[in-house]
Amino acid sequence: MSVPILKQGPFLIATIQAALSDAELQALQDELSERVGRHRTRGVVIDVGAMDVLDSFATRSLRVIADVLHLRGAKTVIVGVQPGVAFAMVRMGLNLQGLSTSLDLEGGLALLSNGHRSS
Amino acid sequence: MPDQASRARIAEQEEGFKALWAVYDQHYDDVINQLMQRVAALPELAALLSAMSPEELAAQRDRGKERLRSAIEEGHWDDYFAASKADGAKYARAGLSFTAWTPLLFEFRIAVTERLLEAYRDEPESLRQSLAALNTLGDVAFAVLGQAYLEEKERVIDDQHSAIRELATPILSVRPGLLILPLIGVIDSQRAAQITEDLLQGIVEHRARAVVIDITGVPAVDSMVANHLIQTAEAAGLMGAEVFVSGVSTANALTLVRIGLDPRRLNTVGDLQSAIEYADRVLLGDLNGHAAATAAEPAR
Amino acid sequence: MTTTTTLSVRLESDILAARQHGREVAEQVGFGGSDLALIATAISEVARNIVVHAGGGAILISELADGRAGIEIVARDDGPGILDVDLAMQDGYSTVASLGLGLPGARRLMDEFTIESQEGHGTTVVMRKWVRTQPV
Repeated sequence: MSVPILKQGPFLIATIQAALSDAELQALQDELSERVGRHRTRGVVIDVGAMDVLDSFATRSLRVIADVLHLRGAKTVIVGVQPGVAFAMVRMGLNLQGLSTSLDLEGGLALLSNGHRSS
Repeated sequence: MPDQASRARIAEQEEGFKALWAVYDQHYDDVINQLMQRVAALPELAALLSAMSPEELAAQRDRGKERLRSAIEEGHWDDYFAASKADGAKYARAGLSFTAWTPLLFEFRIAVTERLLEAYRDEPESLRQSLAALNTLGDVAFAVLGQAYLEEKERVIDDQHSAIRELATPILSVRPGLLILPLIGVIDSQRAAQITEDLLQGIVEHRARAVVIDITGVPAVDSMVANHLIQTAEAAGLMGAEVFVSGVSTANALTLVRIGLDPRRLNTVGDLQSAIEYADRVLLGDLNGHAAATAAEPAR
Repeated sequence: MTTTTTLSVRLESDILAARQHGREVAEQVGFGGSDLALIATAISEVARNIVVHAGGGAILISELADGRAGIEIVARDDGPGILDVDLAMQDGYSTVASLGLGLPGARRLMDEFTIESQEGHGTTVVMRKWVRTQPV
């Protein structure tokens, strides 16, 4: 599994290092789904800080992963969207609607813990 | 500098200029004093001249007299008008308004005309010629000075515009997690993109979770600005920060409604204080920021 | 003389190569931070379009120096072609579930964008972006 997944209490943290192929994203989705079920995970943080491009394919894939995890009982937070990447996504008309976002890992975990953003 | 037509006009009136100078030379200091009294009633100009010592003022007066003499008697008009041009530029650089210095030229004509009428009371031909020369002098000096003033003023304004454009986007970090971005002036597409970039970078640097963009200082909010605000808000959202736009005047609000802005795409609030209050609630996390701004407010 | 690199695009890994190369060229041309992301994303979209719908093609990346500095990306494929280009350029249009926003999205990122497609003859997309300069 090319994406490292860490367990932090009731949460899982997946750190995507670089652009993932179709197959790799499918594998990530399957792995997270399986682990969420196994650990009865409430929340998953997906860190995209290392991704320098989030195109329509990647965005769609993230949304699919979040939907699948939601059906499995876990909330997903996307963290680490780079400023340039956020700008590009918005210019294109892409959004992560329905997905929670936070600036970084700490913020993401706080969001999952409190159900709202940390102070 | 005077154009061909003006130079021709001056050349034709050699006699007239000599008649003019004969009188003006005699009364030069008086005329200047009269002008100075007029200046005292023109606050902008008075401020400019008060910066000079009496010696400097006297020296300036003497130089001016010599320049005019040299022009009329020896034909050195270029030097004379070069000084007019310099004056025009100086007034523009000093920030004088157009009406600050024009009364001075009018006063000049009046002062010299009075003395010409007195001196050539019994010499109608000399009177006619000298008055005509005075008119020419006044017209050409006005045109040269005015042109220099306008050109310098445009240059000053261009410089100011460049300076405004080059100003770094003012991003204020008022408390942990909260950024305030006061937008001022006309925002063109290029500046808008720069502002968005700077703000997103600021969100990373300050780890902001709430941003208030105040548009009180933006004169006209059109669809381009509105779209940029929406894009900025959405991009900030992707980075976990909630954006509130404050300072939306009634006029701007009407414009936004008319261009079809979907109110769900932008959290707008009337004033900065309210926006900061909403932002605080986001930071304290007691309400989802978006819901707070768009939920119906009970009457205060 | 503009420098042009041609990259063959057939597999998914070629998408990554194309956009990384595009980013490098854009950096050389003098594009700043967020423009690099815009250009890389636009290349990603058109490259993916080739891989998913055309089965193969090429991407040509050129430096432009036409009085001002810029970058040109040509995405050419010999696929089945788009039946109705106008329809395809509308947001949300999709022949296959995965088409989605690709081309209209890419257009919004670039300064110039043209697309030519003939059924049975493939598709050519030409995109250009210019380095932002401060007006004098």
